[in-house]
Amino acid sequence: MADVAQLSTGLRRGTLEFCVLAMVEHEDRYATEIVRSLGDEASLAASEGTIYPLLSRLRRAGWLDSKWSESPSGPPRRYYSLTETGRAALEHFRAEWVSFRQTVDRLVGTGAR
Amino acid sequence: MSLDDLVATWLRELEQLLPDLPVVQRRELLRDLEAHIASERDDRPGLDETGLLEILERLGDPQAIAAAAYEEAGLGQTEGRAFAAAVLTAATELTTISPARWSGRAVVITPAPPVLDPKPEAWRPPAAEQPSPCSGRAYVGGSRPGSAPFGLPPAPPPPLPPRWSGAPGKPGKPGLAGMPWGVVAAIGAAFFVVVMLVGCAGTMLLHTSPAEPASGPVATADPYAPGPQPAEAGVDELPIDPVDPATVVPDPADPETVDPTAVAPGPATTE
Repeated sequence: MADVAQLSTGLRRGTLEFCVLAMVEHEDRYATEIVRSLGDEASLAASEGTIYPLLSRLRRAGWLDSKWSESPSGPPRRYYSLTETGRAALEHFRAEWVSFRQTVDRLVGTGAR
Repeated sequence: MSLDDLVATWLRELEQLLPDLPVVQRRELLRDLEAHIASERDDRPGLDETGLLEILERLGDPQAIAAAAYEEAGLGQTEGRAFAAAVLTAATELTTISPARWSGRAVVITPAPPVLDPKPEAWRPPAAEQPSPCSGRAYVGGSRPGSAPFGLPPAPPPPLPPRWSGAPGKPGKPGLAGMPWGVVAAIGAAFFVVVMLVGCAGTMLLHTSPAEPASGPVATADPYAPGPQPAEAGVDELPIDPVDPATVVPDPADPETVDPTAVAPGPATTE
């Protein structure tokens, strides 16, 4: 089944960006921190470098804001924060996701038995 | 090669894969990645080449990053871009990046002692998808283009057939530059045909006398048409074309038909 490899990609598409939004929901994080955390998630299987274009798109979409800040030690860091638009998008996703997940669980048979 | 050079080469390789990305996004991405590498290096005092390669490995294959950048920018990964990327990668590895560097990396990485492996085994792609230590994992936003990985030179091209490689042809059939005689004969015949066609065309042109009156209507105000030549008559004395000017349809694509001096309408004829 050649489509098996595409399954993970398809599942991640459209959801990873909300994982990013959730990471900065309560506190600003710098890019390397976000990227490293997502890269450590085995099931996401995202190489760190591919997260940066996603961060860029979210910033251009107005869901994230960023600013460069001097680091106490080392090079400057780019900090990301959640905008109000991004917060609303995250809340909307959460509501949709629960309904979506329950439906899929029920249809596929992966829900609580 | 110093660590700085290694980083610069990696970034340059990525940049060459992003020719169609808007310049602002390209600079932003390169700056982010440069800052990422700098931050990682800063967190690891005494980092050696192996450690730096580990950082680059976690970042991923430049082609996967480029594909992600294009997809996130809404540009997708076209076949032409994929081809261009493959060509650029090959050219880069043949010119800018010395093979010694890659062989050096291969020597460092290929033994793959467990302490150098930054990822649990479960993270590693299947063996068939591990062409290089820096291939990284699949791009989350789309399919990763199959291409020469970062870290190892591309696989050598398949050997050309002897008859095209410049080597002597098959025994008993030596040809020009190793080509068979049949091909040489075909090329010669084609050349002969072209020469004949050119000769015929030249002959036809020579048989068309410039003094011969034009037969039939000439629907242009050609200054080289029979009659007084413009060079002799001057612009204001251009002769009236024997063809009714009303029949000349101005063609925007033909500047002569829209040129008032070429068509010579009423005012020109009254002077």
